[in-house]
This record gives sequence, structure tokens and C-alpha cells, in this order.
Amino acid sequence: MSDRSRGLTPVVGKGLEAVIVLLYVASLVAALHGGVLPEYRTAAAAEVGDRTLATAADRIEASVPSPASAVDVTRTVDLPDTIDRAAYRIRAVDGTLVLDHPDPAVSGRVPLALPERVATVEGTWESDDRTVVRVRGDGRRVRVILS
Amino acid sequence: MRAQTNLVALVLALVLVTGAAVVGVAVADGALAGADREPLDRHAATAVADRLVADGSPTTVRANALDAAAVAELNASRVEALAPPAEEAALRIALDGEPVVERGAASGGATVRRSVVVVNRTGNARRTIDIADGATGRVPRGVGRAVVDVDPGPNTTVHTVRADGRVVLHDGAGLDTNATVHLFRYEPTTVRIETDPNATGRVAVTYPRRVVETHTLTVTVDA
Repeated sequence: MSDRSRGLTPVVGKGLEAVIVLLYVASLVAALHGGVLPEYRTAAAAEVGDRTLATAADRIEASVPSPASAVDVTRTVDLPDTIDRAAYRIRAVDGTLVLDHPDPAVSGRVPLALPERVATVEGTWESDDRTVVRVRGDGRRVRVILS
Repeated sequence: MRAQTNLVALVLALVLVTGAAVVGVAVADGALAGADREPLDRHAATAVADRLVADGSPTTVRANALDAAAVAELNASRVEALAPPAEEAALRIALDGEPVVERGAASGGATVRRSVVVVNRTGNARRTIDIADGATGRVPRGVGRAVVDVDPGPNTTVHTVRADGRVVLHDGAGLDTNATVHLFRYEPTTVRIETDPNATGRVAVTYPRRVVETHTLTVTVDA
């Protein structure tokens, strides 16, 4: 081995090490961001969507008071502003609560359990807006309005 | 040779970092799986339990008091009509472990418990009081109304019937009647007859008999 190549050996060795580390970090980042992270994000978003829907239904059911000659209830319901960084909407359709989200895996529906005197449930909540449930009615019929 | 030692150390370090990453992902996986609380199952179970024990529900006589006859007739479709969130889910409703409604095999899912009383109406109870001035009879707690049947014997005039001192029936000319009177339901009531000395005859007090038992209502829903 000549003196010149002897001098080059440490340089080449260090360069090789640096390349290996760079390749390794790149592949790790690619694996995490390409496969694991989006999967977790979707799973967490679906779970948050379920919980949001169940919480909203619970709050609406709890806001209907026991029979009285006049009912006038206004309650703010706390919902997450976004799920998976996207705004969503909660609608009341035929006594069912529907969550509309750009991702169909997050969207869902849940029937509401309300007393018979509740005549209608109507209205829409936008997640980035004020979410208030109003209950109005008399002794026989009660209306639930989401606004 | 020194360069090779460095390389071995590097490879070892990378293997260790890979191991740490794999362990981290596994832990995150476990945490995500453990965070799944099945909120929709819980909502359905809570809704069923709340609708079953609510005041004004067809299964109750008042809030948290189940009607034994209505509970005996309960089935899955009636529960669904009462609480739509239980639709198409495995469902088990039990009173102290005795199944009341069972559909499908609810193995996992969410379970909700409520403390309830079960009111059993088993016909009418009848209490007879022999008429004498100051004769009394007792009606147990929980009776809101009773039928008082005054049947005086010959030469007897019953003026007044009192319930815990309150006048519930009175006729100065003499009572001979069958009337419904309202009682205070939260305490036992003493019915007292006021008449002449040496009076004969009978007063019958009839009221619905109720057996009240405390149970734990368990609702399991597994969608």
C-alpha cells in the first residue's frame, strides 16, 4: 500500500459511516411517516369521531328535562374544533345524529334515545362554530334544536 | 483495522436505535388499543338504562321504580322502541344477575349498572275495623289512596272517619258509604272511627298491596 492511499483510508471510512447513518435515518423517517404515522392518525381520528358523536348524543339526551308545563333549556356542548385537522358537521336527521367528515372512516351515525314527548330534533352543528342545544316546549310536546 | 472497529460500533448503534424504535412503536400500538373504550356501546347501554328507569317510561311507576308486570313483558323489540341506540346490538338486561332480556351473546361491550326498586302489585289488601268509638286501623306506608267502606250495624251512627287526625269522611247524620280517600303516602296512616258508644258494624279499608324490592339493574350492550 502506498503512503498516499494510507492517508485516504480514514477519510473514506468516515465518509462511508456518514452515508450509512444518513441512509438509515432517511429509511427510518420514511417508514414512520409513510406507514405507521398515518395509520395511527386514522385510528385516533376514528376513535375521536366515535367519542364526539357519543358525547354529543349524551349531552342532547341529558338536556331534555322531566315533564313540566313549560320547558326552556339552552346548553353549550363542548366539541373538538377539528378531527384529523378537518372541520366536520353534526346533523340531526329523523331522531338520528349524523357526523359528516371528509374522511368516511371518521363519519358515523348514532340514534338518539329521547322520551316520547320529544316531537322533533332538528338543526346542524358546525364544529368551528358555537354549538348550543336548545330545548323548547310545553307539557305535551318538546322540540330539540341544534344551533 | 481501526476503521473496521469504528464500523462495527456504528452498526451496533444502529441496531440499538432500531430496537428502540420498534419498542416505541409497539408501546404506541398498545396505548392506542388500550384507549378504545367503545364510546358508542357505552352510550347505548347508558341510554337503555336511563330510558328504562326514567320517570314516565312505560316500565316504571315513578323514577327509578320499575313496574314488575311491565318488566316481565319486556323484550328486545320493546327495549329498542324505548332506546333506539340498542338497535342491532347484542343486548343483555339483568336484575341482580337474573336475565330479563337477552339477545345475542353480549360478551364484551359496555355495562351500566343502576340501583332500582321493583314494585310488585299483587292485588288488593283489605283491613277491617270493628266499629267502636275510637277504634283504629293501620294502613302501611306507600299507599296514596284507599277505599273506605263504612257499614254500620243497627242503631249505630258513624259521624267521622279520620286519617292521622285529618277528617277524610264526615256526615253529622251518619255515614253509610263507600268512598275513596287520599292518604299521605310517605308514612303509615292510622284510620280512626268516631261514633257513639256501644256502636256495632264494620269499616273496611281496601288499598293496593305492593311489594317493593331493591335490585341492581345491569345493562350490557355489545355492538
